[in-house]
Amino acid sequence: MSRLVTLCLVLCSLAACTAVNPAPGRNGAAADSAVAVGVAYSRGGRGDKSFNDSVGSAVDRAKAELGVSVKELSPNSAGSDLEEVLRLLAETGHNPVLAVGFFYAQPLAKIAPAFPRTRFVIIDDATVKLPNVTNVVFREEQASYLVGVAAALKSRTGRIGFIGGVQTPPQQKFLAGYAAGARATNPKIRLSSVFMSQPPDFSGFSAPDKAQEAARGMYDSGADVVYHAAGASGIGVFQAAKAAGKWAIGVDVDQRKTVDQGLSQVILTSATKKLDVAVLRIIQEAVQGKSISGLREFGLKEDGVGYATSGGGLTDVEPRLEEIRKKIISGGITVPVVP
Amino acid sequence: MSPRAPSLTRRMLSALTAPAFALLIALTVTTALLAAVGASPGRAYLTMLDFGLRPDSLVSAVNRSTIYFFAGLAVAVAFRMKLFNIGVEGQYRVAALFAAVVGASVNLPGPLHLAVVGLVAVLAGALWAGIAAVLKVWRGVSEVLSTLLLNYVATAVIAYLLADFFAAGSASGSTPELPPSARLPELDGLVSLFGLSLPPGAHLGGAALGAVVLGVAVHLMLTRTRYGYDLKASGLNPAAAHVHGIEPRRMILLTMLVSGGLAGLAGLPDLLGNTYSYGVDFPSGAGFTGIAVAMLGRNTPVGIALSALLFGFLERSALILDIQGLPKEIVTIMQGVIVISVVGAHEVVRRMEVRRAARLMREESVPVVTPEPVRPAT
Amino acid sequence: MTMKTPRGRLLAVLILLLAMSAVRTFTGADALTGSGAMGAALRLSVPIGLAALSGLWSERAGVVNLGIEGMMIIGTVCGAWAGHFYGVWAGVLAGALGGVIAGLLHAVVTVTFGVDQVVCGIAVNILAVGVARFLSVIAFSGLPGAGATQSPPVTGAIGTVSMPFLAGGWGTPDLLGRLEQSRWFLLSDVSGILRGFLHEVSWFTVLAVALIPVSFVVLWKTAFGLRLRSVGEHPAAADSLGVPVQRMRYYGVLVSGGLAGLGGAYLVTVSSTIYREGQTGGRGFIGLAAMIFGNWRPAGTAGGALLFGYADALQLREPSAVHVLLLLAAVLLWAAAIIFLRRRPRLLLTLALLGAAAFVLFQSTDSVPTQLIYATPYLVTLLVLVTVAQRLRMPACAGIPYRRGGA
Repeated sequence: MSRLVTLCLVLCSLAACTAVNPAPGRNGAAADSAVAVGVAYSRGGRGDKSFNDSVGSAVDRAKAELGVSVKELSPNSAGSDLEEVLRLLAETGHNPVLAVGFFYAQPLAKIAPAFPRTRFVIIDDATVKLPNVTNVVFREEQASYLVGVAAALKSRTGRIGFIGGVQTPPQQKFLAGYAAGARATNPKIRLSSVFMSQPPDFSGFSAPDKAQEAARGMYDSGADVVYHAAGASGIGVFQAAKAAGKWAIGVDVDQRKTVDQGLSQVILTSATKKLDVAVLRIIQEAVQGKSISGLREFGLKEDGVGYATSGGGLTDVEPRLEEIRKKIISGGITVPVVP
Repeated sequence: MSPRAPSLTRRMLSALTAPAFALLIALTVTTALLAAVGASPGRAYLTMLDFGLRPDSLVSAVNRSTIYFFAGLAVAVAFRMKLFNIGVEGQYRVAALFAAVVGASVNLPGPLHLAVVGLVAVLAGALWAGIAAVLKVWRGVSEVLSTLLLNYVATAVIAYLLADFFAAGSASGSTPELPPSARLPELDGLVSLFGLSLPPGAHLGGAALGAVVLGVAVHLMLTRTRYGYDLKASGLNPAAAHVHGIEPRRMILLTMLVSGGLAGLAGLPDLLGNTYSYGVDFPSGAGFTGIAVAMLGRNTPVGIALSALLFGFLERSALILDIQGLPKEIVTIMQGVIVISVVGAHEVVRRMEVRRAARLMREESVPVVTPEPVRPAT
Repeated sequence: MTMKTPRGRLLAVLILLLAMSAVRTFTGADALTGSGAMGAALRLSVPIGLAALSGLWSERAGVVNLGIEGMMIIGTVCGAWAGHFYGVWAGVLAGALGGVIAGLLHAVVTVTFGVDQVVCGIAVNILAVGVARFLSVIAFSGLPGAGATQSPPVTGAIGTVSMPFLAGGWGTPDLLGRLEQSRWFLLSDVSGILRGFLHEVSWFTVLAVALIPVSFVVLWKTAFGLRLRSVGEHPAAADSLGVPVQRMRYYGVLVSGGLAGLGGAYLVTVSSTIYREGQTGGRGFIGLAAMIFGNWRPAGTAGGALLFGYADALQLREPSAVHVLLLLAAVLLWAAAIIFLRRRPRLLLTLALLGAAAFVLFQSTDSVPTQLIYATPYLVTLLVLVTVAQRLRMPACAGIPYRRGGA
């Protein structure tokens, strides 16, 4: 213990040396280029082949096409430094600052007023209402509704499944839309659903094995279409679908095009979310100096979400899906967000 | 025939050897890793120090360390009698949930409101830990097992209570916000007393003061009370303690309750000074960090305080590595290496001293006329 | 009845089977004893079982190993790296080797330097998280389909095997499968359970299961095992008899690391085909729990892992069947109460009341809330721990560093 005392003494004396020179924002990112974008990813950071990487690809394109400089940060796995990550990006002169994920809502609500001249963009949250905050919200429930319709139409057994990663409010939207779409198409449909973990246990997004067991169980008990919203765990669902010779539905991007060749033929469709398009558009607007505060919804109407048609599995039901898509856009069908 | 007491300089020297040795090992390992990936170690350390010693960084490190301090104390108290409470993680989250719910539903004047919230947190934490205690004394279930399993049960129970009761209908999945009377005051005045000025938005949380008070209280409890003595005795030799009238079952129950109560406090710095509500996004993981902090601090309040500060400082400094494009994982590696090397260095130094004492004993026993072999003490 | 005698154990298994098939017949929840659920249980329990064996080897040699989780993490990274570049079996080997290296660190620090074993284990876990991230950035960044937190898929796959004649291996009839379909009381339940263990089992699983009797034979029936265990029970006595204490402890911890690494390798080669940050998900700790559950014995340890895997399989595959577990719990608690009728009247009352509570819960609800289903494997383990009498005894000197002469 006395060793620690000394250690701290050493640190404190160092503190005394450097305290004279606090040097905030010493890397001066903002000075180099006209627009310096700061990106705060959600837990896991880039390389998750899912949520963060979609934003990452948009950020890369912004770098190449718009000539902006970008600084990307990830929080620690416990999620205890979200506020500091945002603050750091803002005080080093980044503008706009992107907060990727609804977990940033509370920290952002505290940070944004302290940096009135910085524009903040939060993805997947509509609760933070401040003049310098843009809320980007995707209507995943609408896309999920459509794939729910597709699942109900394609199911021969009248049993379908849903596998979620971690039971959080944004994840509930996927289930809610999917269930509503399936039931509207076939009132007698039987839907079984599983969430693999509960927050703050986020292992459900990195557990392909558990997703595979869950999907196996669904296929074994007669389901013939299973939709997953489980991020990187989803590959397990496709593996189970392949073993059972049944359908699976992908999420976020057209997964038929991104998964291994051997697995792609089991993917009926994917509920897509054009996160990259939206992020690129927002950065573009910031470069042009447009005011971007307030709620920005990306639904079917804005072509922010949709369903994939590659592979031709949906050809026979596409007219029906298109019809429903138009009804949702016109407001003829309201999709619930809570199951 | 006691060996000569080592001189003051000698004691200071040996006190310095261990941490210097530990720091050296940690730096060697991280330097090697940084060099291996082509990053400049010198730049990494300077950046970390430069950023980590800014006033707002120091404040943030202190805020973070109060959480680890409470969690570490909870682990340490139980560990004093060789009870391994891995369940601090679940205990502090259950406590934070109930503190948030009760705090938001009553309306009381400032200090009283805080006291009520604190009390609820302590009680909830103690009760959750109490499950493991009861299982141990009633059915002999190992507390390592039960506290570990109860962490997962806590996650499920909290998620259920939030979804169906406490946050039902809330879009963000959180409990209602605490009123201002239930929020901890900020101690920014204290910071300016040290001649440091904080940038807007950075605050020293009031929990830091609470941590100091509690640290002193726990120190007194461990060293000056009958309970503290019983605890130590039960840990050192349970059988002998029993013979001396210390009822082991009562001690287990009491200690787990105290440990859980302390754990309950670990959620409060965040709840009362940061988030003001409990939701699915409430910061987690402090319970596990608390184990490492307690071990590094050798289970004494002062040691835990220092190791909590070190962990807080390192975690805060990690942020700047990321922004500079340096691999911030080295901080995690550094934490691991420091834990091993501090404790390892302590062990090496201890052995050196034992050997020195043995040598002194031999030297002093030379003039004794009868060349009797020295019998090892049993 | 005690679980100590072979007759007692047989009776316990029989009661369990009877209760399961009765509940299955009564509720129609076929998943309870289906081969699907049992197969999943086996697959899910392999990494836990390996972690548990890992703990067993280390603690039997007198070294508490809380770093199993970290050693598994190293196993996953190394396994995925070698598995991608050199094929899946190379991945298995590399995973084990990675675990051995992590074990070596634990051994050097705890055995040679005599550092507190609990502290070192915790440090190994912290260290492994950082090292894994570091390694994956170096090894996987830039590879197709990979990133800082994910590896590319391993090359090839480990094959599966089915028992011929019983579970349809090599084109033979699937006898158990047919019996399972028949839905006869008890017979089809036993068939389902057996078929789950015999149908399409990965060769890795066969290897892992074989390690249980191998561990038993090595540790309890050989001179080497006797010496290794003596070091965990009474190192001073072992030392005086000429057993090299430090070396035996090294062996124990290295084997422990290797087994934990194998558990990690299983996750990246069989459970899934990639490394993914956070993939171990606390299995190392659950493995330790299974080891304590199994009273530091190989068979009991495997039983603990299987119990956990079964509950996990049920909650993943058939969340609705978790509700039926309440009824099963009630029946089993009552059965236990009857068995304790004469010897432990106080316990009897508690068990009967617990059983009644479970039954009332079962009757008054239709399903278990999804959030609570997540806790199934943990609660089941706790409940079994409460019911089964605890006569656990860890190796006497596990956790105590040994220095000759006690310095």
